[in-house]
Amino acid sequence: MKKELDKTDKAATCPFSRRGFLKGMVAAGVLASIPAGILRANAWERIQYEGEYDIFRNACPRNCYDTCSIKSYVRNGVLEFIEGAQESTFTDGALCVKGYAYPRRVYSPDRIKYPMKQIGRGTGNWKRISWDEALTEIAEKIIEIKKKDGSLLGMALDKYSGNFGITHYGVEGMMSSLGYTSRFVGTPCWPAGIDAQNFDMGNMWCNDPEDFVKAKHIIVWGGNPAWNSVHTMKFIYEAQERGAKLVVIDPLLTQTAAKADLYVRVKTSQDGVLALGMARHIVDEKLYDAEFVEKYSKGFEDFVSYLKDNVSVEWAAEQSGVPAELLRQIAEEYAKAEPGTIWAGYGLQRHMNGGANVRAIDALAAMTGNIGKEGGGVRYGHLQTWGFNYNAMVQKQPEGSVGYLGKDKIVSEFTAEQEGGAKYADRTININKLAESILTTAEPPIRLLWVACKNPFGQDFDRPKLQKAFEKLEMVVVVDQFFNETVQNADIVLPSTTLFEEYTVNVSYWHYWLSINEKAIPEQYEARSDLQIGAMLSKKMNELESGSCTFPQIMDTKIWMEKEFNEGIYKYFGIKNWQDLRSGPKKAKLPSSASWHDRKFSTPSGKYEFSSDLATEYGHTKLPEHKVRRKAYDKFRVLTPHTQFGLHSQFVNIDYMEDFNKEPFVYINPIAAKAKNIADGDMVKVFNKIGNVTVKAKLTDNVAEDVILMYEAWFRKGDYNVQNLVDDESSDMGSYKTGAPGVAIHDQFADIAKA
Amino acid sequence: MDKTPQILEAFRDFFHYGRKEHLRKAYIKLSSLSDSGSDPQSIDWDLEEFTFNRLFIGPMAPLAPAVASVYLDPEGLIQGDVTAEIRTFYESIGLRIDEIGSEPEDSLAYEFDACRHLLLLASKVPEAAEAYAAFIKEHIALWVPEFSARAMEHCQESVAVKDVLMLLSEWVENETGNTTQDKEKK
Repeated sequence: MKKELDKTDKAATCPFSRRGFLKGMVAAGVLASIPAGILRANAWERIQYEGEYDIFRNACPRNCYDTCSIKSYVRNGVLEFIEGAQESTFTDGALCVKGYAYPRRVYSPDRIKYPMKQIGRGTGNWKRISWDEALTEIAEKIIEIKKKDGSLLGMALDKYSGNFGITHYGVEGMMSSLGYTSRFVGTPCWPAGIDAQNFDMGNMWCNDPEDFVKAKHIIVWGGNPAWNSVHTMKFIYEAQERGAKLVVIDPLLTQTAAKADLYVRVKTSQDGVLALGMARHIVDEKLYDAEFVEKYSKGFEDFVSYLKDNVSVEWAAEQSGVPAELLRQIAEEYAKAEPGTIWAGYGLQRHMNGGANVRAIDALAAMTGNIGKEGGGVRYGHLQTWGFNYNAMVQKQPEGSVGYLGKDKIVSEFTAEQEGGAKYADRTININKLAESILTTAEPPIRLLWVACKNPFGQDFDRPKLQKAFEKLEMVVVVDQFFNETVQNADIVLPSTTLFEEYTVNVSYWHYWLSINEKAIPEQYEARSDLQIGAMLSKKMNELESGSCTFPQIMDTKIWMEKEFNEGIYKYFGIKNWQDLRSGPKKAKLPSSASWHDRKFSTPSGKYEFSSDLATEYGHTKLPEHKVRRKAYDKFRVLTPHTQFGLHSQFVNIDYMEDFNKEPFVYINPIAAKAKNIADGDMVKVFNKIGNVTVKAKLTDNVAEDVILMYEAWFRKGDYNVQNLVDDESSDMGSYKTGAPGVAIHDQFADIAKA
Repeated sequence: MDKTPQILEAFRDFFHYGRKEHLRKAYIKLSSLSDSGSDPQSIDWDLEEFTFNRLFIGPMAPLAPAVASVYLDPEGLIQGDVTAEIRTFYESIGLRIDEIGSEPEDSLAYEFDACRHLLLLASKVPEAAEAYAAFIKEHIALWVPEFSARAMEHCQESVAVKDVLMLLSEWVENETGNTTQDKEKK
């Protein structure tokens, strides 16, 4: 019979522990006479479990603007609580709702604890295996592939940003250390915008977000920092306190929009049209910065001609859904602000015209002279602080390795190109076409897929196709902390450590702080870091076939972390060595809070390029012209942005998050719902050419009548997955700087009906 | 001769290793000690292992984690106060796990190991019997029945896991009764 415990029982869980039953006896050495069990005899003299906390420095490695600096409090080997580091004026002592739940995540009973093997992919029949067994099986498969194909191109890596600790590029290093392999490259996140900014300015480089306080006018465009960059909001609020106006331009009335002085609803992916309309009005009113465009830009005259010939305010208003009067108002207010700043979010570039959208917005900032100004700029992201050694990543292929004879070069937005000069190369494949590529790649086909720092079933596109693709694979190895749909489709799962169980170092693509991440607690159960897994695999490979893997067999993650630092990093952050970071995170020594403060741009001309020859080399228009958005292929537009209580599939499964976010919903406008006879709380089916999702409906006019909204998330209970509705159509840009175009995530369409 | 230490060892081993050869061995031992159970030859041990992992190990969220905190901590926090209490208790009886903080001490297998240790010690140190009784009554009995009931809900297809859970429930019930009687006799 189930025993119901009341609170009194629970409080009295273990009162006997205070009695100190046996101290005298044990001290007399009686213990030695008891046969050993699985617990070991304690060193009796040692007094443990008392005293103050050990404090460690950690850094949240999630793919998030804020990359929080964390202080962790550990007692008796247990992480009791964490807080934001007060030394960082960005983190400022506070974490987000997800971050505060970290101890629950570390100690969740749901963590993957041991290497396990699934007997029949997708059956749910799992066996616990030892690390040695797991690595032997994987190593034997690697050797078999090399024998069969004469190369290791049949082994592929699918890894992205699930853990941004710099040493985690050791996963790529592990692959290189085995030979020339297939690599899924590119990014699903932000590539179109990166290319756009590179064409316009020669780099993606944003102002210090802490200088939002200096802005007199702020446009948050296509982003929702109130959910996804909560630490930046305090600087925006401060600017508002000082008199700045906050305008939010977004197809959705987001939480950030709710905090704005003005919310402007734009038609999805018509951001570029809106920006061009604003630019036209600014030209008409001669509100542009004549000095900037003359001295620091190239092609402004051509841009003006383009606007005059092709763009009218009325046309832009009609196309963007923003009334002409309002369009003129926001254009004027922005142009007159001294300074005005734009935050270009990642949502607005996840389109077939996404890069064009960003280029149009960049142009708006440039023509008003806001680029290079403190409190100004067009903020997208930066990689100024990422100058590490990438020691873990740069590994040499074993002697005699054979690879791809094509000209593929691995390009990544975060790291310098891998130099080789070798005859052979890795085979690169667009990360955003994972399913299609697994199905179609041949000579050799992809036989073994290694997944790390990523949950492709939760995040990649066209889930039904991905399911088929996985069926084609001979072996799938997934390294993860929690069970999810990708693990469900794996043969072997290897348990990975959390940030508190390893050393690494982290920086942000948004703020300018540097934090070390110390190992605060032991690895849980048999979890190992990506680096340790590489080291163990290397040992096993060499046992089975001497010289078959060059990855250093270093198990101490601290050693790996130390090897990432260099003089450049020390100088940039004004520290003598990495140990200085033990006393807290450090901020880069910036000559100005503004990017491009000297207005020396990194373009071929050294100027801001309204007219970019480089863009034409990559198949785009020279000028930031209007690009027609994707044609609707179904009745409603489906938007699948990020959720508040998770980051992709991370955190959503943690019980503290479930308290707030129990189940998924589809959000639909009441007028559209009425036409479909859908009431609030009805179970509905959302369906399109890709697949379908059955989910509960919520009615809200936060979304437009032609839009349905479903947050991208993974719930451990149920099979909700928005990737059943998202195809893998490419965005316009991304190939230049990230190796592959992005994905038109928000150019998706579906119909909806009562389930 | 008191079979209890051997029963405790068998329970411990059944829950500790999570591989079919250990499950089988521990099951045979428990069956012989309790004069019950099915013919081990007729049991599909792969299926038992799959069930065991679904219930207690993973990689899916285990349906009935074999950790006291899940049932006793007000928020179900592992490595919280309950784990700390058990760690302290182990210390008071001279035991510890290999690496403090790497796994919760209030896992079922460790708790059985501690029980076994106390029983063996009791012949030499009378206070150990008192500690054993208190541990059963004031801790094990508070969570194992709920754990066992939760696990039983999900192991219809199993023979061995189901049998062991039933034996476990009976054992806790008996042991709680016995230790109470022992105390009353005194």
